Amino acid sequence: MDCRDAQFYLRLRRHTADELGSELTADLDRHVDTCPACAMQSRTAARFDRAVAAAMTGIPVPAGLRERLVVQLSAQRGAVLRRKAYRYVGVAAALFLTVGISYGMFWKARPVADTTALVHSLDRRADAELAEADVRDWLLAQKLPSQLPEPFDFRFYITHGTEPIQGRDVPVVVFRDPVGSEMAKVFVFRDGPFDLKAMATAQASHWQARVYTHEARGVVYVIAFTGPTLDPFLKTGLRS
Amino acid sequence: MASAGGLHQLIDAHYEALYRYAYRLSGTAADAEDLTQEAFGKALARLPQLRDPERARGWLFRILRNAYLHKVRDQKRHKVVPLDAVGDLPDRPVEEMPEIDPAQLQLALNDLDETFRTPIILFYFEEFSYRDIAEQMDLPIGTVMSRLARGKAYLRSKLSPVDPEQNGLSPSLHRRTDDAQ
Repeated sequence: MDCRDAQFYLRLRRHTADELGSELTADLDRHVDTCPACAMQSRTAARFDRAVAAAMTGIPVPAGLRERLVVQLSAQRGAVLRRKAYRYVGVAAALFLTVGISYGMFWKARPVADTTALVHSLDRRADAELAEADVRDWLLAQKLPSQLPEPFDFRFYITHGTEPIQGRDVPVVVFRDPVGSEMAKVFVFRDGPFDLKAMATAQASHWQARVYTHEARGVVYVIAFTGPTLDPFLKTGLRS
Repeated sequence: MASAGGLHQLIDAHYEALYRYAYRLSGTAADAEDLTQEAFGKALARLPQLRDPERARGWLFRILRNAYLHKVRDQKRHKVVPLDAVGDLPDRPVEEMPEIDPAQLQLALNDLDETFRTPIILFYFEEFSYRDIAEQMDLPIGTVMSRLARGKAYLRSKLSPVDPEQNGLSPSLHRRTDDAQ
């Protein structure tokens, strides 16, 4: 290490904690030990650093600064907490209003239970002509042919709707013979949800099924019924 | 959000050092107090970012310096000594080093560009290693050391006792005068 390098490093050397590294510090010390000029420089640098460090931090801190900081930060903290609280209250109020309005709308939209309409509807079912007309309208609304494959007597009509068959809803019209307590159901299978090609008549202990494949395009009727024949459910004079 | 107790601890532990740093950066007591308040205010808002409480001081100093730089960005810059242009200034050995007047030191610091002033201040605060200073300023450690060497040489030229043989002019100013001839 020569004097030029030594003087550079002497400026950087810290006299409280040396950060130049042990190797460089050892080199520097060796040079300073053998060079009176750099030794003087080292002492000068150390004195200067001590003097500047003392002056650098010798700044009086204003009286009351701590208290002013505490007051300012407490106020700022309070404002932040208030803002947060307002935000939470706002969100909660909006949520409450939304739920309340939705619930109110649902509550208001509920129909009044109408017993008059109920008995009129049952009357229509009891009237064979009206019941037949209702079933026809319902079939048309389902985009199905309005006629059933057999001339059912609607005095024996019970209800209509859908029943789940193999996981798919199938339209069905239900009849019951009040004398023999036999039952008949007319299922209307559509092409699409089901493969209609291989449908065949079937027989079980109480029920049997008759398949009608050519009555209408894209539709296969299955009439399932109990009892020996379908005749009790059909109009007199039109029985097969 | 910090608890009130945690906040008071943070203030108690650091407000004096932070104020002194702010004073040395800005040069006036009023600006120093404003900067200290601003730094604590920003620190409060960003407190969740402080992962390691051991590093709180460095974190606060960095916030304060950014606040200072933001503040002076739009102000008309006063004339500073262009240390980059003058190269290494020689040191003059002195046998006795009297106490340095803090106000004189401030005048000398005010001459320096902030990029030289900040490492000098942090160096003499004795709490920051070269690595800490480099992190504070986002600079390579070699750049920090080079700026420190030049900045310290300049301070010595301004603050060391006057050599009667040189008619009151510091060596560096002699050299610059000579260079100009």
